[in-house]
Amino acid sequence: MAQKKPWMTQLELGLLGGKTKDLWEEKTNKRTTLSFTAFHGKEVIRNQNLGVYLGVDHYPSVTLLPIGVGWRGFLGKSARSQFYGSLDLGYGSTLLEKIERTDWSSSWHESGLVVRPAVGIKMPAKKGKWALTASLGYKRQPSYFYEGAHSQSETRPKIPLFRTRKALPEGFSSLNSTSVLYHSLSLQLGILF
Amino acid sequence: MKNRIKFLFIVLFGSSLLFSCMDEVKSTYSFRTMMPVYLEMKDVRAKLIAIAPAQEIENAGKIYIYKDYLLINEPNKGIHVYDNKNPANPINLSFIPIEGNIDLAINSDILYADNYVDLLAFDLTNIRNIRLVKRVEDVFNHLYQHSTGKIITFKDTVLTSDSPSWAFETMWMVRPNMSLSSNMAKASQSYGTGGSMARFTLMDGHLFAVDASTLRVFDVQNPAEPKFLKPIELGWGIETIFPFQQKLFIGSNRGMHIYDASNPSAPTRMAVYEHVLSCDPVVVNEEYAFVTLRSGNFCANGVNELHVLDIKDPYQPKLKKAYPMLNPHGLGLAENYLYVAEGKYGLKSFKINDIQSIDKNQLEFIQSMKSADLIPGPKSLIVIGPDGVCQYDYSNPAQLKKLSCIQVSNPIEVS
Repeated sequence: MAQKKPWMTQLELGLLGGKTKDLWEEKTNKRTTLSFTAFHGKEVIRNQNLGVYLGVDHYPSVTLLPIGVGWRGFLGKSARSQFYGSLDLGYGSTLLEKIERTDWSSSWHESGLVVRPAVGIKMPAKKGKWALTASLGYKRQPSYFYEGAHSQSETRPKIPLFRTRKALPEGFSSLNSTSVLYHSLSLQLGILF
Repeated sequence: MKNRIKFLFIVLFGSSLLFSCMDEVKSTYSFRTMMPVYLEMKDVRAKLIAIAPAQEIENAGKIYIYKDYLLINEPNKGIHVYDNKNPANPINLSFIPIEGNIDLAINSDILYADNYVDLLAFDLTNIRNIRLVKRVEDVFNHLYQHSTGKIITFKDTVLTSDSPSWAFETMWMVRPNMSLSSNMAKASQSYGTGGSMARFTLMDGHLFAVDASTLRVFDVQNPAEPKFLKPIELGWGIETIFPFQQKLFIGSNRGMHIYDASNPSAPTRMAVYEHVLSCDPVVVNEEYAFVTLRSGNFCANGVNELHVLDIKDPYQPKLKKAYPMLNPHGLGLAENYLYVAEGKYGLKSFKINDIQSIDKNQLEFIQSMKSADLIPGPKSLIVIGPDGVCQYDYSNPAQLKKLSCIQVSNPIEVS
């Protein structure tokens, strides 16, 4: 049996599926989009790995880059197919989204805490130290979109870095905000080495 | 084992196609607006005005220098009293809570302050024991809503509704800086008194108060017994009042009015200098009036200029010269020197011996000193701007030295 490495890396690509309701019409639309996760962790106790992850979650109106911590726990012996459980907890950053600014208004995206619990199976390759994984989970991820009119046309107010508790951030005279809490079923296939 | 796994996968994948959850989509629209607040004057009058301990300044309104004291209005809330014996270290003494107060003036130890529709007189003889000595009722009655007999004031409020408005074009309708009431509120918030943007002023035993359209005259020859004499209609858009040698120079957004106040109880109009619509504070010396015109939020269509008018014949003011400026707000005159608050651009000082070449005699342009208004005081130049209420040593007009700044929690934004 191969010497066990304390470090593991898992790259996963998958689909996020959900239903979204149109704000203006009583209509629901199905959405299916792509999601990618890279996890790097260390076995802290037997079969239990803790680490960090970075991801890309694409939604119809926004692309978020979650960054956070994760857990992978395996059942049974590693030489054979194993069931495993995973939990990713992170913050979805909006680095890929543009902030639109004019003299009169600004619009920008914000995000928040993302969580994905999942169960999966790991199938080791016949040769080598790598394995294939498949997992099914649930992903909860908020996304906010703001469109604000400036109080003064000649001064561009600061865009608040994190979701503001105030109804109206400083320097704005009005703000349209749309929040979407995405509940998705997440199916991911990956490799682990 | 493998079959079981395959089976599990088929079940999981199949269920994923059948089952999925609904996203929660919410949309809100928040906006700042002026909410009307109705008040009964009898309730306001019933409240006892008790001098409160020193408080931090939230918004700096009118500023008034009297003896060694500095009085700073907190718009619609009252007046902060500072001991300014040492301009490098002003000491916050107390706070006079006066609802609806935006203006003040002091005459022989008597402080006049408006309290919505009433004029109050306080005795300042003992600064540690300020007393209300007189209330003149129902003088600023433009605040009355006549149908109800109540006064109507406006409160800057943030409202949030669940029904969003995507019509960005309609949004500016509720922008407070576009509405008249906030125009007033803003004006009262931003500009110091005693400076070029004063709205209460004293001359020859009379108190003159201007609001948006009316000049009101009070006889204060007996300081503790102010008597309301009469209102004089001026037309809309009155912004500032500057007294000089028995004349009143009233800045409006259409021009400058000159009133003869040699009989202070009955000022008469001498001239109106009309020009483009803009916001214009005025300062005056024996021969010339200096007016700044600026473009800004509610001074639409304006230009940014300093106008120098010959007023040797006050019935016929003549434009001598117009100088381009960046965005001039308040201005102040001290002997032969003129100080101009250039908004976000800074502060300029000029020597004005030769009014034909003021631009060539610019002494200093301090770009870091963003300013909305200034008052050349006996001990210091007081500058109101985003840093709060700051005082400068201006014994050398070509080199201002900062002495102190009183912090203001919501300083003026200059644009």
